[in-house]
Amino acid sequence: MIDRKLAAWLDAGLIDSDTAARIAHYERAGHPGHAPRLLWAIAALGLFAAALGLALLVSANWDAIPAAVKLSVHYLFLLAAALASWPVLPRLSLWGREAALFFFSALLLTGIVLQAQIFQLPIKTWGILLLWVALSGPALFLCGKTRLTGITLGLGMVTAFAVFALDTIDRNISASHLNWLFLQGVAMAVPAGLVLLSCFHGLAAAIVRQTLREIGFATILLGVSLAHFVWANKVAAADAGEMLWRLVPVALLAGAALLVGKWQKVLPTPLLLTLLLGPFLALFLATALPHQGDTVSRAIGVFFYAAMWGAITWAAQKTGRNLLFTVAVGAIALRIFIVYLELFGSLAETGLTLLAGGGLLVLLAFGWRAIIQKAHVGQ
Amino acid sequence: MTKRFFQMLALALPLLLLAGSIALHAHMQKAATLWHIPVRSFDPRLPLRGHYFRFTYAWQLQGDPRLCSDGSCMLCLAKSGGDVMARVTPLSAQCAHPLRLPSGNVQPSRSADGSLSFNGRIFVSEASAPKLEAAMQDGKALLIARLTKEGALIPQQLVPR
Repeated sequence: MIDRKLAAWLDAGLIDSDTAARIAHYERAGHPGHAPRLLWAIAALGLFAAALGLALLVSANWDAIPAAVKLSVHYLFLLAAALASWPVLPRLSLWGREAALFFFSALLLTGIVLQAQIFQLPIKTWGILLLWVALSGPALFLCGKTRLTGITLGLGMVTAFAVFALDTIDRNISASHLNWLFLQGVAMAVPAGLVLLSCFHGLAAAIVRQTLREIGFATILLGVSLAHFVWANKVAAADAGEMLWRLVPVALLAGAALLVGKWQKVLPTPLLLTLLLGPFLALFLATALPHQGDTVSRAIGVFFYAAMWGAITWAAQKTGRNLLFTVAVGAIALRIFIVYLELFGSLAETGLTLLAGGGLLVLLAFGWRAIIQKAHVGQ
Repeated sequence: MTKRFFQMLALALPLLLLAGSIALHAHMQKAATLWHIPVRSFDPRLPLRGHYFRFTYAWQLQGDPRLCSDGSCMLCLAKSGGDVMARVTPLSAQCAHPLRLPSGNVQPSRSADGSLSFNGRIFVSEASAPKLEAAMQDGKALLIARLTKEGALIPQQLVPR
């Protein structure tokens, strides 16, 4: 592979023959940091097969293994993972410690499941996941040093609370109904909570905090973008009232994230406002305001959706966040495309919709190009 | 130094809590009384869901089922030959072997005619599942469970009668 590239570079006059010979010698001899990838890939495949085989052997004999042995062996693995992650012991490599921390977290989850199985504990899936977040969350947050632990913690928290909210959404226990609504609101507030958590300097590594912040904002934007489709359904006053209760913790955590984020200068103020306040307002209007779900409601919904993403586009452009700018423009373009599907009717109606929507998309594309070019000239 | 302390705490605390939980559950089960309760299939079409068997306690239910209408009541258990009697009583009633509800292992369920029954579930291994499924469908399954002093029923094992 390298010979062909060297020949091409020689032909193009990019390097001379001496340099090409030296590069070829260097690549063939191997050098520090140059891992024999094929060898590692085959070895990893072999190890994976062996681990899978071991797991299947244990599974096949699961009944024959006494409960005390299962719990003891599992606990020893957990102890070993904790010791390998221990801050004062001789240091492993960065990835060695991260792998140990990841296994520590994974073993805590399997430990809870194992206890539930052995002692026949009547615990629901969301109970297991929330307990796991409570037990392994602090270790992942405080000891993590890479995106691996940040992603494990961030996605783990979002998943655990989402499973809880989805499982209890239809629960209607008269005496404690408001408590359940409030707890579901806490689950909805987790993405804002991740952003808030990411604002505390000094407690966690910068890359972990950045990962939590990104997962928080991505979940907020995805969730609110999906929630705006509620405008297409009828929301009765009673449902809106329930939603208002759920939004109390969301408002509190989003507000706290906004204030602490501004105080700690985590992000420029326009970004914080449009990524926290904008989505909250869009969510409030879509779910806690009674509406009929008719064409007028849908049009209002599209307007608020476009306003939210439009504000994000403006803030991203103002603060030089090109990726966010692209995502925001894409989100608006996608919504315009969905309008086609919503307004399918007679040939004339569909034709008019396609004309209007197509024109808007062309305008959006040219506007995007103009702004990007302006930004490049500015640089 | 403070950060390092919190890091060590975050790693040590889950270890202690998990060990404590094992000790607590083992102790609760050791101190509990052993019961053999007949059970029948929860749903004849699908008794096995994953590796968890769902079943209905086939004890002789006595007392006023309306006491359990809000989910909080007590079942006073008594052995009678090979059967188990469960009398529905208020939570404050005197009882030698109380089973307090609500309990995750004993879920009340009302049928269309208003009669009250109680459902539970237990983890079974893949190897023993077919034999137990057949016993359950023939109405010949027995649940071995422990009743703790606090009034919690902990299923231990499902066996054919």
